Amino acid sequence: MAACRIGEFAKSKAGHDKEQVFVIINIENEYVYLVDGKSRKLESPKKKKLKHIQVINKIDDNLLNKIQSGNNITNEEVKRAIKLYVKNGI
Amino acid sequence: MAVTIKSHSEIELMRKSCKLLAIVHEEMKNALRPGMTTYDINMVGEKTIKKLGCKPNFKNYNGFPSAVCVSVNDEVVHGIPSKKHIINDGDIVSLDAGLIYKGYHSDAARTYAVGNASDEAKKLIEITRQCFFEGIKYAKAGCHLNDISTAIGEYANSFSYGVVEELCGHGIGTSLHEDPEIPNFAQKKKGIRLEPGMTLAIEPMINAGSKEIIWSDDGWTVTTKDGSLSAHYENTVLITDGEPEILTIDN
Repeated sequence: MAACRIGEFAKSKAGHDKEQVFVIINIENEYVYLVDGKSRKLESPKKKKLKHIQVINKIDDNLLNKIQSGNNITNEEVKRAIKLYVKNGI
Repeated sequence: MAVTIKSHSEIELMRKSCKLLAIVHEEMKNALRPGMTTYDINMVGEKTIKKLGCKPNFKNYNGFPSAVCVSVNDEVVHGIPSKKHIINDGDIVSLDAGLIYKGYHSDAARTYAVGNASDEAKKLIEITRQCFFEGIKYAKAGCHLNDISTAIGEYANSFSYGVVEELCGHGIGTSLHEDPEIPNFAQKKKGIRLEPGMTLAIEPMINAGSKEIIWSDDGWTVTTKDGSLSAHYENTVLITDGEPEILTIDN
């Protein structure tokens, strides 16, 4: 079974943050760690079960490359990427 | 990143787990025919897994409802088996399954042309399979993870096929998905150095057209964005001091 990759967009399917869009910054077994740059910053990601999220798309290539290469990203970059997705559905 | 190195006894358990999975895939391959549903072929897989005294590791994994992912034509991976989805003559069908044997996971996938499939479909299937073998030329101690990824991606691209980027192969052992991620295209960093005792599930997912994919509303099925065919080939591989051991092929 293919694995999802760190750096992808995901939408929460359950909980008080249902329908909210996040970026996956870590995956450990059945859990993912999510950030949105504002309520869930890189310093304190949200831990959620994989089955409670839906991977929806990849984010912009530059940010994705940075995350998947292990380079530092900022909360601003995460916020901007999510805002662009929600606005344009990219 | 914590990539596990399996002990001798763990390697024996992985070998057994993978050998049993090879039997499951053989049963499914022999059963697959036009007119059956994707649910039917899934049940062949599930019943065989249980008959062998093992547990299907896909079932209920993060909520996946079945033992086998059955993905047809433009479905890339994670197709949910259905009693309503009939497999037709000329379809290409990817069967992705795994099992747990005494706590150790195995994972493998095959794509088959059912009945009279087109030459283009058959070529896609064969090239996808060969992508795996191009990749494992570098699945050796001392090579780096990105050597495998680059080899797979370059081979697929040489045929102008699209390489799926959002999904990847993975480490495997006491969990179905372990570190590391194993993408199927070149990365900017060389990745971890491979060591004997690592067990990796390497799985090229290749589209006949664009690499772009869409995630379905069912939360699982991934399809090609342009509707082109997609093929999938996967084995669990043991890194050794010499040539890699393909654990899920029964020699």
